[in-house]
Amino acid sequence: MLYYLLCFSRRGLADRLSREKPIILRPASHFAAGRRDASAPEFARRRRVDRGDLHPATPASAAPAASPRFARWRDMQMQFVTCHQAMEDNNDEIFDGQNEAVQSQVSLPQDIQRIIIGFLPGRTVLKFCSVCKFWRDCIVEPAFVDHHLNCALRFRQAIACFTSVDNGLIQMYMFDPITVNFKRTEPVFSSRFHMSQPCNGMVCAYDLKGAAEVLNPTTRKHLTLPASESVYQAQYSEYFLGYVHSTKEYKVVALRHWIKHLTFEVCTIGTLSWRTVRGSEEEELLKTTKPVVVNDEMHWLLLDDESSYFTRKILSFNLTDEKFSYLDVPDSVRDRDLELVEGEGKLHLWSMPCKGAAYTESEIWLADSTRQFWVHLHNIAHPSVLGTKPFFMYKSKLFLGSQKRFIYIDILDGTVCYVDIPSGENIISSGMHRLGELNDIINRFSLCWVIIKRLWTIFSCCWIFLNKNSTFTRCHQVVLSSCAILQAGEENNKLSVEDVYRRHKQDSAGAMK
Amino acid sequence: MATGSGAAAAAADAEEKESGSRMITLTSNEGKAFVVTEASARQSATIRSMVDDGGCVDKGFPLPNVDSKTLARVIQYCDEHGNKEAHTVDERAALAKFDKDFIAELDADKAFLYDVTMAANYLHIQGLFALTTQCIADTIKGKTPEEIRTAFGIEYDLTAQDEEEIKEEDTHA
Repeated sequence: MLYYLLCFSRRGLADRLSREKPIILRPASHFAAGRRDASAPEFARRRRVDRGDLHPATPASAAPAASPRFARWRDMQMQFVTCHQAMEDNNDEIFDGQNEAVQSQVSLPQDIQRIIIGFLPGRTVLKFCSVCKFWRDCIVEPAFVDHHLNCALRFRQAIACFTSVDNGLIQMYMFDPITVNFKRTEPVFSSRFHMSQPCNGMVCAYDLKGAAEVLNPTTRKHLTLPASESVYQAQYSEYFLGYVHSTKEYKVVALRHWIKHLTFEVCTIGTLSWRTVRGSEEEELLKTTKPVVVNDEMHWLLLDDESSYFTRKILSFNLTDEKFSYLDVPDSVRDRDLELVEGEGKLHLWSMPCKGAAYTESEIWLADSTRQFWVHLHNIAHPSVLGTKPFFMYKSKLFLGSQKRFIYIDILDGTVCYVDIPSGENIISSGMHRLGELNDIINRFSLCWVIIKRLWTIFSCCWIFLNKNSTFTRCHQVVLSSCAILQAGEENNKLSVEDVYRRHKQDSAGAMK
Repeated sequence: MATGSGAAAAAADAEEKESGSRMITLTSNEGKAFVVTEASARQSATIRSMVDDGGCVDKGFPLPNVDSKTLARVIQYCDEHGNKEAHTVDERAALAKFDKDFIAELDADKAFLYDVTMAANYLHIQGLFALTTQCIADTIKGKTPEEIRTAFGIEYDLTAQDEEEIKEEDTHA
């Protein structure tokens, strides 16, 4: 099995290497022309010297000596026209022949093709893997994924709203962020019941008492997170996904609920362990357990004491250095009902009138980037929308909702709009989603994960066997049999989505009976 | 051609101190000279860095990779974006409308659109490049891989094994 794995990865590497070769592309008409022209100065100069003619014949021939920058520029032109061409010699005749043969066809240089692919939505890009080798290599390259992410950030933001249907399947609804018009819906292949807010196009799906997984609804790839010892001891756990910009790592924060307190654990995606970052000694009351994730930080509102709804402090967790800190809320809103909201990479505070208060206006405050002070942004006189929680802000809209409702308020004019959610579905998560994000973090780690897991299983099998029999001779048999077990396990892993769905349905039908 | 560059040099000499109203000559691969304002030429990062460097402004820029028809169209874009202000909402709307018409016109002739894209890439005109690539991306969005191969003149070079892998990835994902 291991041998197979090694062979497989080596084959992959060999494939990759062989693909590195420049692919010969038909030069478009002006490539050839450009090349001839770019080399013209050399000839022209030589001819000029021969004839003793010192006057520049063309601007092109006059320029080269002018500045070193020009020489560089000319080199760049040369590079541009010669890239993708395997031809080494300057033989113009061969060049012309090749040029004529392909003049009927139009083609774009590969680097431009690559940029164009970056503009396409994720599902389409995946479909285009089968266009040609170059496109396929492009699409799986990490640098392309970054390029695609940047494009998505600029052009393809969407609002994603995840709802769970009664039988446990999750649907993703997408809306245009400006008009809030419905765009499309996609099934999310996960059988978990809870979900974190989307982060760079990925979400963390989990069960309160079970394992968690990170999944990408676009590529439909899953990565199961390692099990922590405290999962089974704690009453239940919640998981939140965040991204560290400086190291490009994704981290999952787990909030474990014990009878009297909470603990925080962190797992960096790609590692196999959970680290406890906050133990049981601090006894603070979180207003809501769902944090507001702003860039590299997670924020929770802290309650003053058990009997009140008032908050004076915000608990912040920095994902980069994994340290907690506190932040004060503005003095003037301490006696109000507060909520934190994320809006375009900034932390906002939404203060609402408490029950029975004389005033009816809500306020929006913005935390400055240093988290030193708050700036008052808006007053909204909105009709109260009971039982809702704010999801996020985008431009001048504040999105909020409950399990059954999805609402947005225009901050500037105070209008309230309702977005229809099909009956029988509950909203489990919502946020800004980079549409078609091809985040490959899951691919990158799942293979090495499998290898480590397998090595560990084989090792532990050997260990048990040696402890029992104290003989080394039959050890290889154990290795072989454990390989067989693993192989069977792998067959299980290969279950298609339909199989999982069918199995899930059977299970739930059984549970109903 | 030589006279074209001479005229431009004279013009540049006359107005040397006033940047923005200086004229710059661009020469296509067919040798045709185009005289544009500096503000317009500055839309191209390639030319901008050359101008800032102080070299060969008066001698003009030969562009051996761009033909006259393409260059004329590129200059049309640069003139619109370089010479007009985009501070107020109305001005910005006017520019957006220009972009829309510009791209709609280009979209009709795919080969020419590709030429303009390549010229924009070569001259590093960010706005124009984003405009044309986005347009091409929009047109290929709904196509099948076969249609894309024909549109871009790409040869099918995937082996049976590659195909198998792609298929497998797709079903298990």
